[in-house]
Amino acid sequence: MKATTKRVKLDRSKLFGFSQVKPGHTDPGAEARRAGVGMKTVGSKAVGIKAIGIKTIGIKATGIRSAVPR
Amino acid sequence: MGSVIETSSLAPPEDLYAFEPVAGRVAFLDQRMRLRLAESLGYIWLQANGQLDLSPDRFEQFLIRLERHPVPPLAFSLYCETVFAIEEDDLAQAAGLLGELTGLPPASGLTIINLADPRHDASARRYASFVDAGSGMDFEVFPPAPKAAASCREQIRGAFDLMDAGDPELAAEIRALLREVVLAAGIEDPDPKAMTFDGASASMLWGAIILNANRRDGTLGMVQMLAHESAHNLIFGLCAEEPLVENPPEELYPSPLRVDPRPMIGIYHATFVTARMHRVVRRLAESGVLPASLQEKAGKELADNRRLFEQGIRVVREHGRLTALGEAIIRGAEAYMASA
Repeated sequence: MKATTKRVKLDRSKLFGFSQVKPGHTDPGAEARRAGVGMKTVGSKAVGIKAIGIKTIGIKATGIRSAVPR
Repeated sequence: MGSVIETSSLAPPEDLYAFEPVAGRVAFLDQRMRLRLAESLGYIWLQANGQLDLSPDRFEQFLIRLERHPVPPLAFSLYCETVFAIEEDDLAQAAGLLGELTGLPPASGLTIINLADPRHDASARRYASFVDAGSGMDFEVFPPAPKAAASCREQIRGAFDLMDAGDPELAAEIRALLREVVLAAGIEDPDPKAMTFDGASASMLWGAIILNANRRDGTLGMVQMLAHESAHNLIFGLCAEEPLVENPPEELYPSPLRVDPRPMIGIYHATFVTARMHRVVRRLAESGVLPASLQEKAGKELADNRRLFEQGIRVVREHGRLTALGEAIIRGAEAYMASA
């Protein structure tokens, strides 16, 4: 069982990548650091879609956590 | 455990915000990223106050190395995971991650690697976690098939050959920015409207790009992909200490490169990288290095990139609340497109 009081307290304003995170968002750099995810349809040449996607995700101790996409 | 170098003591090069490629500025950006990482790791260590099961000597030696030498891109994602683990009060996990981080070898040069299987390999899971487009469009990421990986390597080689001949400044900047090109595979769905990932980069994988090895748009497409993803890395480095836009991420706008509305920071990135793609195609076309078979494609790409840039910059100028840094960087892209 995890302690209700954190044993190590971190001030995000002092952490690289986390200092610009808005309240309620968990991910450092949030949208900005995922600006580089590009995607397209498998048949994109025919459909003509290019896309850039960004999403806030974080990684929990137990694995990968996807936050709510905007 | 203090830093031996203060980030504030780094002198930025005069051409730091230039739109044109400048390989020389990357050393400054890379060192600033590493020093900020070292400062944050030192802060974490002090806050932990002996509660992390890791040798202090090993940790300190790593911080010294981090301040002096480039590190693999995974260093940033391991740090990010460490923060999350501490916030979850899982100090054993945090110590394990820091152990992994301090065991990373120094980085040197640009390497191309195949993604391992994310189901069995923790590093592969880290890379794969960044290939995530949002808006409910999640992608499965797989190790590339050997044939696809070999073909992709050939395209990368061909792309660098073209840039070395026709745009050596960009080739040099890309080699300076990138430490790893990670080849992966997306879904090969027979439905032509199925979505797959194209490429990815992230600030917490500074120096890495992830490419879909199944791509089929040839050498000129690879040139643009490298220009595109490296430009994201460049922006990540440039905005390490301050934001580019002040628009809240909840505000969504039409994107030049995506069918669904995106936050202003995404529009900003897309607009900038599109200008960089236009620039490299134009440079190659004007230098005469493109074979005849690619000249028609180059003309179409130039027109497409210009149209997409104009869509993007219109949204940025109409709705973007840019910081001074954001203004300085995008102004260069605008000036280039106006002159091209």
